[in-house]
Amino acid sequence: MKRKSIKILGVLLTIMAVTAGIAFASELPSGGVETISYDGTMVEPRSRYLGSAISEITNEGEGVLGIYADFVSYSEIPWAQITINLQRRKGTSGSWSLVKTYVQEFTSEDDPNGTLHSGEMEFSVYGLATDYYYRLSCEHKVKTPSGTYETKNTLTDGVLLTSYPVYRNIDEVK
Amino acid sequence: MKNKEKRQLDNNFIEQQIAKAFGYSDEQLASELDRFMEEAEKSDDKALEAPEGEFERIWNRLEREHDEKRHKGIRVKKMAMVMAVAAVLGTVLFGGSMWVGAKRHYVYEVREREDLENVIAINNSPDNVISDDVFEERKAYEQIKEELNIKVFELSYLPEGMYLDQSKMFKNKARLEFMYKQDWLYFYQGKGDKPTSLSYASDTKIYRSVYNSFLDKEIPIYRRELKDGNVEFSSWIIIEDFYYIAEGIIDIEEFVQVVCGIRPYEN
Repeated sequence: MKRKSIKILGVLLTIMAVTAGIAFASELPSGGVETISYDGTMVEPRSRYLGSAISEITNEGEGVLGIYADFVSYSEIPWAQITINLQRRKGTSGSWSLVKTYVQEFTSEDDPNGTLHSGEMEFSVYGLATDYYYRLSCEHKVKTPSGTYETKNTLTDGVLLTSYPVYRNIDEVK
Repeated sequence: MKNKEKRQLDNNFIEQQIAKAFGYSDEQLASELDRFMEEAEKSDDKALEAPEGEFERIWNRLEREHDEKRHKGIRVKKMAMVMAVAAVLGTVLFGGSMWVGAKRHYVYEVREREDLENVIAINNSPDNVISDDVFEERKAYEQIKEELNIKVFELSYLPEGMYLDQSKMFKNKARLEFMYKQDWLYFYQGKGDKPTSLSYASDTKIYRSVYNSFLDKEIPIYRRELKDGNVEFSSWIIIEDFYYIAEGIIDIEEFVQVVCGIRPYEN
């Protein structure tokens, strides 16, 4: 009898826990924010603090790639990080392989006014193999004042890196 | 000046003042007296004879008047000297300041204020005049124009309280960062005149579109409600190989006006 009671109680508690979870989920607005655990820290999709993020890859010509990535926040944040994964692929089919990863952290000390709310990485890469397609896969991550993180990923299309110059307009050709 | 010379100058000044006062110089006065004495001696008319001591009285009175004139003359001269010194000093100082002023070249510049109708600012010393937010915006747009060589667009409408916090220039784009109610609003403008791929992550959803008369274009507005209840809006425009993005947490009425106010920047 005792065992039965314990079993019934266990089933009831399980049902309560499950229904409570469903109720919480149903209270989220459409497009609501899901919180996930990631390496012991709370990481959320972008919201109040990560306004938007951009990554951009440009074939500068003559084997030079131009790379840009940024984040902007609507409010002041204590820390941010951009991770750029440079990938390449031979031809228009096949899989992408990682060439190099670039990581930069940002703190309020990096901002001229001491208020971190935006940051960017911009640089050129030389000496890459030409006639490959290159793309960027980036993670833009900010730390909120409450200690949680908001993140957003960007992914560019592939750009063919050429060995020959690329002209902006006809005047440059002349 | 020596005392002797000074006295000589004083005497000459007195004589001149006497001649001016009585219409006679010393010599003329003496000759007139001599002539009168001769005529009096020739005449038997007692009425013409001066009373006893009359000449001395006249002479004394002349002497007293001479003294008064002399003192007045000295005072006038002193005042004249003081005035002369003041004039010289004034000329040196004022002339000097004019010379110093002439070394700096001030040129008035007239600037129309965009935040106030029919109001202009006229400044002649850019180093010493505090510029305001409108001027900072114009500087930023000018910098974009010079460095990026793109069709520069400006936000001709800014809600009250919004101002340009800072502008950042990059190789192919610029980001203007405005402050509004303690939040930042961003305005990108850039170009893609080389083979490029740009990924813009902003998971806002299409909300509505507005007509921009400056660009003669319908511009979409995107919206997203944030988990803290705030609402963010964004909008982007692509014209040829230029792109423009505006985004921020702002009232929809204000954002619509901001988007409708995007126009080509004109110097």
